Amino acid sequence: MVIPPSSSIEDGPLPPPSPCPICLEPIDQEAYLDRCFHAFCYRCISQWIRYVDSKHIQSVTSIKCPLCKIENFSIVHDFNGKSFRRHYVNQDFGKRHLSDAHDFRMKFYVSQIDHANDMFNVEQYWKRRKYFQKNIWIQDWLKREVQTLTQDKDVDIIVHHINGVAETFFRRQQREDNKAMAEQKRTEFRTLLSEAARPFLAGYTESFIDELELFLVSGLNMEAYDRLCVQRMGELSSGEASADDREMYDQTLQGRSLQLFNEELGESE
Amino acid sequence: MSPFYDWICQFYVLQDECLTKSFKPVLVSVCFEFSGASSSKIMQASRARLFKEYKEVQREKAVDPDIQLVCDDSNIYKWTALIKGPSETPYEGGVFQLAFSIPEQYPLLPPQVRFLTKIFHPNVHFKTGEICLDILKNAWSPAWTLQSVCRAIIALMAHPEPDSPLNCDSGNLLRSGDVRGYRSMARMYTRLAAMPKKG
Repeated sequence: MVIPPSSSIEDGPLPPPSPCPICLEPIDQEAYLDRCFHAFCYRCISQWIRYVDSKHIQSVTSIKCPLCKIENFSIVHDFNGKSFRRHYVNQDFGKRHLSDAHDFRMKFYVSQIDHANDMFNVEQYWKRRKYFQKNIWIQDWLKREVQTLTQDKDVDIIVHHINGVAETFFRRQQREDNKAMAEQKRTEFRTLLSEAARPFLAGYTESFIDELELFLVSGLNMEAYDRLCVQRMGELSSGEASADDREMYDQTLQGRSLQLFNEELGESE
Repeated sequence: MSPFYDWICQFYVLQDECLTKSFKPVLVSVCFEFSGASSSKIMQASRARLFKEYKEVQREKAVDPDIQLVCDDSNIYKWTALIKGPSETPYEGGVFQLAFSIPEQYPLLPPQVRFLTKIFHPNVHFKTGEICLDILKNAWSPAWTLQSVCRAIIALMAHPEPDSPLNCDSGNLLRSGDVRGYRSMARMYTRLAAMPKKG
């Protein structure tokens, strides 16, 4: 067999990625239709689906591809090598937007920021058994995280399950006068919770456990913790956080803990 | 108009960045900001896309000699196009002017297009120039561009659909099989309205 002289197809530079057919810009948050695999920006194609849906009295279950007119039933998006999401056309796009805080958390998870273990002393938490101090915001926080990662509003069962596993673990620590090493406990805790969360969160489990641990260690409430995440995101994008930001953050933290202190006093009265 | 729109686009991009940067989980106030901005966001999207098309048209000018798209000097939502009548049709040799009026929800909604030049065609209203073309109505897809709409109109000129007429006289001629009658009428109007006057 004669091998043809090496063609220039492989050698040539890659063609520029084709733009989104809807906004004509480079594709942002790549999303594919499930049958024809045409790619669009997630925002563009979901906006189009919402628009088509709004024109029909009954909600539509399939959408014609804007390019090839093949009927598609879902869009596949947020593909990051580990996991992807699928959004069915008849799923209510309005409900998908849970809140801006959810969106922010999603962005946070997708961007896969290094988990800032240095910000809190994780070791101390486990060594000094700070986990005996219950974080009263954990339930709300779990609910929001699971809602974010599953994009589902109704997650009470999952939250209850995860929270139950965590509480059982801590309670057992209290009962047993456990001499086990702090590091061992930490690993055990993480494994137990991974197992509990994995069926629901799939590829996001690891990041979720990291965040859960950090949240517990921080002892902050949701708002304060979010502020911290905004800061971490900011640091990532701008490379460095200005000293002013940090100062401001410290001040607000102090202010908040004072405020919380007062609230607790108020409750006990 | 190009530097001006460049500037406008930059301004919008900046504004967008500011919004995301100053994002703080003070949820209520942020929600408010977003809902207020939503309508202007749509405008911004259509503007950005039209600007993109404008640049594309400038670049592609030589590629499609049959279409010349021009944006209004002061309004990016108003465009005009000059298209050449397709060959081997009664419109051959004519140059037809189209007026585009683009809605703010573009590309979710199709542009409104009509002939400014008089044309005798079953799917074009003789008086108003309105065009009966599915892709300009319910078969619209946001993947169409102004350029491709022009191509679709040229294709419609070459292949009239006498069964959904806006110009009944023209439609009836074709439906009754009087192709010659249709051609001569169309040719006459092309000469009268779409070709430079001799002498």
